[in-house]
Amino acid sequence: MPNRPPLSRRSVLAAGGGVIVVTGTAAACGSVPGATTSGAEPTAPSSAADADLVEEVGRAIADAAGRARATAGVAGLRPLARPFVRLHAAHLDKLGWTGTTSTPDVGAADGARGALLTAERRLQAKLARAAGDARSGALAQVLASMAAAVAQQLAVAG
Amino acid sequence: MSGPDAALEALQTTLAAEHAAVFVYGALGAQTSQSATPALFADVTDAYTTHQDRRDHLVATIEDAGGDPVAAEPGYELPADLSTTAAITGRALRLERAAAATYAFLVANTTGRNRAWAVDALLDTAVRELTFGGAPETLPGL
Repeated sequence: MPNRPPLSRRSVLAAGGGVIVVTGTAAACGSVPGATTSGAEPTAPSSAADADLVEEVGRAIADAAGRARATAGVAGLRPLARPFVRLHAAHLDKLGWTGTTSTPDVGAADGARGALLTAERRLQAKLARAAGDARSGALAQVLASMAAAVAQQLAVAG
Repeated sequence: MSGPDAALEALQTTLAAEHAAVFVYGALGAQTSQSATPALFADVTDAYTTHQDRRDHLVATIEDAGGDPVAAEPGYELPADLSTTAAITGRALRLERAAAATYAFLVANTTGRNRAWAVDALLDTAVRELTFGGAPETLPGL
């Protein structure tokens, strides 16, 4: 698939009292005259509904991060859980989410491993749904990419 | 441009990319030995089938939307040397990364069922990158 230089997109989503900067990159890998990406814009401007969505997704990611942190403290599960901790921290930073989160009691290793993977699968599904619900195309793109990142980590975790 | 026009243009762009992907995977498959490298052959074959299915889906979607699906180019650029497993795997990885960027773009420019389909394709492509030696990323496709 021939490469095409990526197009940069910078979209500012005014969310409630704060401002979330969503940056994205779109690139096409085909090469057909007339099929350009340069004129394409996100499907809709950001909205208050998107602010609520960011809050909801941020909370879900933070909950998953709390579980991953707790699981990383269980003997033998640190290599499994740490990549999820790092990933969720990066995603929360991207969203500008600054709420608090709790750290659950995850129990022993046998149950903690399965519970972590189940929670991550749920988060992946939630992010994918949220991508579908977003009013802003730029936000949808970021949420879908976050879901893909979780899917990659789950694939590595096995 | 926004709304249906932007969505149709994004679908056309994605279809153009999938035409290229099918061509390239066909070439990669032809250079892959089923007996010598069965796992790679299976991975390339699976990817080829997946991209074919996506191409066909895009053609149908564009037609349903009243568009005229873009045609494939007569040919696409390929590396001069595809004689090694590393070369084939590397080309497949580049292709999947480009596909992830294309599907992220499609997500941003569609709504409803088309966006949901694009999200699924982005997830599949991101995981497929790992099959060809890619590493997990913070934001695949962006």
